[in-house]
Amino acid sequence: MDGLTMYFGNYQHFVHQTSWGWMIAVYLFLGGLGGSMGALSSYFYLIRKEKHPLLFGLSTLLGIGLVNFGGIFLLIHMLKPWFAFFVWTHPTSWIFWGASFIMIYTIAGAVWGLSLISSSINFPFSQKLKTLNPSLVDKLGYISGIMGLLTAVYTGLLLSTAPAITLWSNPGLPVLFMVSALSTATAYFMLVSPSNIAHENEKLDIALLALEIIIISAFFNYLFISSAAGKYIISKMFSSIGFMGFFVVLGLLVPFFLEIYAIKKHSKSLVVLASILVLMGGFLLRFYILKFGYYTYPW
Amino acid sequence: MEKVIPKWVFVVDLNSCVGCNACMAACAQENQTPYWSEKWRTKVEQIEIGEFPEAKRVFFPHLCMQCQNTPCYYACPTGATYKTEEGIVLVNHERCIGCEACVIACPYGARYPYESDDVDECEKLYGEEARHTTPHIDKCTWCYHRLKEGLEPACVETCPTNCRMFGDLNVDSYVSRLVLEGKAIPLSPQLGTEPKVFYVTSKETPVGVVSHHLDEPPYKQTI
Repeated sequence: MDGLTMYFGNYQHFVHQTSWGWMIAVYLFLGGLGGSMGALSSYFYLIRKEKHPLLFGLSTLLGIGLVNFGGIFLLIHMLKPWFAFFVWTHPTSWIFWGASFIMIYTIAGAVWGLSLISSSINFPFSQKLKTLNPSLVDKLGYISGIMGLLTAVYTGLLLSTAPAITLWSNPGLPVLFMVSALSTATAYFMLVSPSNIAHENEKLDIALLALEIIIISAFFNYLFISSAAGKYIISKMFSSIGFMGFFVVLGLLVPFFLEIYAIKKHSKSLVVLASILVLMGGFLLRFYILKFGYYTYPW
Repeated sequence: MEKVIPKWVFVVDLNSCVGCNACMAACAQENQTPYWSEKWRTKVEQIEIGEFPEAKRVFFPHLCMQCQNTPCYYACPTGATYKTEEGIVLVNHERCIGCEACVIACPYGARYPYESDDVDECEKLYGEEARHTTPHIDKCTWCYHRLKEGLEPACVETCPTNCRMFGDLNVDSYVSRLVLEGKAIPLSPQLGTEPKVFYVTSKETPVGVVSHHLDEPPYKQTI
């Protein structure tokens, strides 16, 4: 426990958790981003009827790739990753549900995504996929979207099961992670979409960033008033240049105002800059949520 | 005759701990814990309070609380963490994948990873007697193997000041009376974990639940 700062206030002490570090932050970020890419692809294609099957098919496939790539970081972090299939044995654990969401998302999303791109790209199974019942393909698209969204929510629920970690064990965290994940996926679509869809995504991302700012502000309020641990955590947050400067300012506030400005000016370069900042902010949010995970020990 | 399942409880009297750490040594020897990596199933915190000339050092022993409502059990995705019929929380070493979800979930800091390097060192030190042969998350078991033989946990047996006491709530004893009469209290009861370790509080020990006994100002310490 070298180098840890302990604070004996009201005769509790707060100890930084060292179990989950940057690798788990990458897992949470890619899980949220990749899951939300699938969720938004299903939403845009099936509900908003945007006719860009290649874009949404490839985005879902990329999303699945990112989620599973992120999973590798969780596996590397385990002591015995070769027995990881045991995670499907104890349903009281959120990891059980997260692994299930990811597995269903991967299967349903892969079939749906490949079906969408089969009309534009030829690959070994493309002819067979074209013959699938369109109603079945749509159903797989809905399943993929829902499972993608649940994957993003799960990343917050995973952390909320630590009763002694004030910053994590609250119902706001899954909501914050879901909104942030949707925002990063929207930023991805702003980067790769045709201009008419990108323009719509800017409005969506402004709304999501506004919501994220409100939730982060509510977190600050909660930490200020909740407990000695909350006050300790927020003092750490406010004195962190990385958190305040790179996440709150550069990863949240700057892209929010940039996107508002870019909408008025129709500036593609500003949109690209804002999207990159949103993606950076999405990772930093998770990194710092893990970093500010302090146990409150009663001694 | 119906089998009576024991309701084991552990009582720590904070008035009598002198910080000799004999409990840590006994536990490390009995359970082959990786003391070489500074990881312990039970630990005695040594906390310095105040400044000269009012400075003093107090001791706070802690171990697995064997919670009735068990966060680590719920967090474990593989079922490696399980409970015996007596309510003792154990870890199946073979089944554990070391995801550390239980380490995060434990509110009392009772779990730690027994890593590959630790397993190697254990096998080197204990040879064929080694009981940690695969990486896993490790924790205090209240020496369940000893309890089954009618013995007390190693830390209780070795404690020279009787700071650590062990008993069965079904049996009338000094220990059961301390718990049932409310003279010994659990840690962080607000979390709803219903721990089975109870503390007889001391005027000098900075435990959150007895903070009203203390009047020193908050302070910072780097360890």
